[in-house]
Amino acid sequence: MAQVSSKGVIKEGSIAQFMRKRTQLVGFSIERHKHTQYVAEFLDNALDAIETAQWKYKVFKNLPPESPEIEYTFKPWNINGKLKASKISARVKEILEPIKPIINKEPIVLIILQRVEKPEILPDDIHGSDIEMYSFEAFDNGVGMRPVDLEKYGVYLASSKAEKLRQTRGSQGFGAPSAFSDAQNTTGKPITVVSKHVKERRGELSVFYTTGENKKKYTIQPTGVIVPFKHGTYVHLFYLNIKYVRGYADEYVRQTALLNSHVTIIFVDPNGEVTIYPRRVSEFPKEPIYTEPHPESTNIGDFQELIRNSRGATVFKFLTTSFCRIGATRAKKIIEKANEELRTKITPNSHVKKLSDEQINALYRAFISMKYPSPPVDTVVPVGREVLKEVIKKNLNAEFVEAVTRPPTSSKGLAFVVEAAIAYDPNNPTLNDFGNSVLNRFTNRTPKLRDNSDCAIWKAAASVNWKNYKIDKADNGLPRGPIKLFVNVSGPFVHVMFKAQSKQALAADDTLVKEIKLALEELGRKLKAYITKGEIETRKRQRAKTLLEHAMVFAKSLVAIEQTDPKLKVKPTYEEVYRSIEEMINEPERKAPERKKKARRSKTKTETRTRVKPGVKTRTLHEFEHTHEAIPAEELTEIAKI
Amino acid sequence: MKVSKAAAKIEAKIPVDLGKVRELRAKMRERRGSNFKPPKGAVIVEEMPTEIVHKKIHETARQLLEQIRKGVPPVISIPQRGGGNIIYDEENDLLLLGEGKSSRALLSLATSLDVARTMRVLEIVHTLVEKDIHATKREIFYNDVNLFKNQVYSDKIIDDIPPLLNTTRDSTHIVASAKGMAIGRLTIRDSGDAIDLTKLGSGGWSITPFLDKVEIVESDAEFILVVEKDAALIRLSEAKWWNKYPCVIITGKGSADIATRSFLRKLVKKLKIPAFALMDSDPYGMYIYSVYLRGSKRLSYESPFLATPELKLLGVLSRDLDKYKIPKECWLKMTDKDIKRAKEMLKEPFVQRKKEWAEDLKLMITLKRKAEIQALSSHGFEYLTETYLPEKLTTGDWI
Repeated sequence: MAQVSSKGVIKEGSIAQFMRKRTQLVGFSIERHKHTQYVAEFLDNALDAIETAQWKYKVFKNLPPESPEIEYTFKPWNINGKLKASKISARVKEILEPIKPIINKEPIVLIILQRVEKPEILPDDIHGSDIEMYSFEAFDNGVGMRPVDLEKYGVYLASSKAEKLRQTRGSQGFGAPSAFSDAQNTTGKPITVVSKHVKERRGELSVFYTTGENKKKYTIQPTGVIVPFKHGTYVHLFYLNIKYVRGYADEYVRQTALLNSHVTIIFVDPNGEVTIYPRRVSEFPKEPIYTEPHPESTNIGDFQELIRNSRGATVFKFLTTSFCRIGATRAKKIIEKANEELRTKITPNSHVKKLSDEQINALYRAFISMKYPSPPVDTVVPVGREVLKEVIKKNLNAEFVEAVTRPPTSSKGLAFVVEAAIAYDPNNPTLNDFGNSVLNRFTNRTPKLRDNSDCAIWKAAASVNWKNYKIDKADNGLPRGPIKLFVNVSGPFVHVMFKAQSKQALAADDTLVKEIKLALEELGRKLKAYITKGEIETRKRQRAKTLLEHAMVFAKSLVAIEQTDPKLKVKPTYEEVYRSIEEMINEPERKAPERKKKARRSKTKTETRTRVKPGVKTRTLHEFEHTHEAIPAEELTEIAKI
Repeated sequence: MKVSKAAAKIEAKIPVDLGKVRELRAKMRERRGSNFKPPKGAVIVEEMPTEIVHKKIHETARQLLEQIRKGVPPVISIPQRGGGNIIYDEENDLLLLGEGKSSRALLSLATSLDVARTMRVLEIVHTLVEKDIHATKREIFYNDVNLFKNQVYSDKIIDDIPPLLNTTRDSTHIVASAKGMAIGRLTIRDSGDAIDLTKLGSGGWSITPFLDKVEIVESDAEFILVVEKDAALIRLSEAKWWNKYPCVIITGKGSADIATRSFLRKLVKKLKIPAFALMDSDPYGMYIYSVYLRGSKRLSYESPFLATPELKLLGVLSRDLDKYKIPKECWLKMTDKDIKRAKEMLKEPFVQRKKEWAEDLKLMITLKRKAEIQALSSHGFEYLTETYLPEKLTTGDWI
């Protein structure tokens, strides 16, 4: 944004100013997906906050295997007049009242969407009669924010997660600030935040606008308050959008709940409908371990940036501490290699900030030319095969559920892990109700509902030869039938590999696609075995049915004949005969009569006859069996010798 | 067998020489020692009276019942009807079934339907035997159409029952319709009725399908004449030819059905007199002769009971056409089908064994001509009865 000023013609525009007008870049525009985007942003942040609270401070101790039964009645908020601190506090208390007994014991996220009366005058660029105004409230009892962090909350690119490459959901600090921008741009109303950090004694409440200068303008200054929870964050804002329609935001919550069943999620939609996704597992996912960037994932820009941000380090220290997989030997090698091109040599002790451009470039070229082992993979935390399987089974109630977690791997220096699950049930029509597509994609456990066919996950799934596994293939390459697929890609890799800023689709990296394919193929094999077994079971049942039919005829005729048999004192009854045969049919693992084997047996005995005493005429056991003669003694011993 | 008074009287009238026929008869009655040893475990297949069949059915059913009561899956073992499992002792005229059995288990998907059907047919046969009635194959099919679905299947099972009981199909009271006819010097008892086949007018006695109901009482015939078509029989019947030449005349009225074949065989076995066949001089006629002789290819199990290996081919031979100067106009041209059939017959071992017959067939193929029995009428309507047959019998001109 250029502005005329006395100091010159061009003034640096701020990101804030830029983004305020372009919130559609991160998914905020007037269309049905906006509801989902709000829910997604704050739900993701809430989950991150809860996990951090547990990892760092172990706030939820001794969790029972599942959450207790929860009932939640929603109370609409009649917001009249100006927002006052007391009103806000009262509201927070009100919405948390139904879950008061467990508010500090169970990890909970609460999201409330409510339709409210829209203002008379709408902003210029918003038209239409089907625009509504919504009140959005999100609460989590996660780690909360300290006052100093609260100050920065809502500021563009301010994020607790930006620099360190960890597996987290939100990453770059665009989400919340963009949401705030959209909210205040469309409605002119400020944002409310109430938060209490786990280590603070009190919570803090503030109501504000974010400004073009990337700062905040408070309508209620940050105030200490007593809150009905030990730790957590509450956010409230308004936004405009077209009418809320089911199938998007609620679907997002549902799918998120599926892969994050260590948290209870309560969702209230604008129709007042309350959906509770109770916690189903007591184990939290492991905390991902922070790691330095891997050389393969560092480009020249990153490299220069890291140098700029380093604090008075030597080249040696810079190399060994800013990156993973660079130890003393390797660092030295890099420096040596760089020096091959340079007239003014670099030493390990040179100050990295004092390097000339030429030196930096040479250093980078040497740096990038080395071969490094893969990045450590304990930076990724998958959901886990067992958890995934259990949760999907509980939620979908399908007769066949299988999950697979691939070993962690990396590409371009970034670690990731692929997990996949499959649910199959030809007898369950409700299986198709889950999700809008056969394939459900997740990255770092957050569902991706848009840009389906753009995503690497989709492409990988479409390239699997499903027919090999006895599954029909639809035109788009995905399986067709009573099947649901779930693919989750976790790891720091994810953040860098999104195709667009909306973070809905992953770029098609070769290693990624291969890993997904392998995971899906493994599931395909398991499903095939299951289907085949099912076919076997069906055949078994068919067999029994057919045999019983024939047995009926058999028994009837046999009994009829024997009614007049003078040699039978007790005449058989139909029931007796039929039951006996029925028992025999249903006996498990009955061996088929061995007919052919007999012939072979006698053959081998004949072949080994050469060891028999000459002159003794021996006969095969086969012959004896048929004639029921007693085997003469001498022959018996000879046969025993064979 | 002594020559009855009636026969002696006839002989005196006609200067017919049945010497060769009597020679043949003597040969047939020679007791020949056979060095045939039935293999171990082989069972003789023979006709059985109804009560025995009844008992055998009970025996089979009881065995199955015992299997079930012991908790053993029931298995029906049926002697194999083909290949090396059927042994025919020609010398002693014994049919033997070897030990080869095919087992059908009730509890095996492949065979359970067969077992169910077999049991059902056995029940039907049991009913027939108990009530002492007979039924045709088609009637048995109609008895349980749902189970059998197609007569092909019920027929197949019906063929299995006789070997299962080690007996003949007639003994199981399953019959096929009969169209044959017999006439001549023979008295029988048919279903309790005493019948003299010389006193049945010109029509003769219809051979009944209930062959177990037929008892051969007495005969003073010296031979049996088997005629292909009843057209030739008309002549013989009109002339009451059997009064001149003591014989029994049988016709199948075309292709030989089971009843006719069986009856012929019975006659030969009981009376021990020669039998002669009078067929058209064409491959089809030869084929019919072969059927009387050894049975059709299909019923290999039954064949020995329906075969009359002693049957000689009297006429009309291809060499007769010239010998008896049948005018060439009466010789019909053989079709391609005829020639094909003749050639196929030449390949058969039983034809090759009878050298004269093989030569006659070859002659027929060479001539490419065939002639019917009626062609003999070219020399006069009574040529057959007065000249042709007497001359052939006297000169022993048969194969």
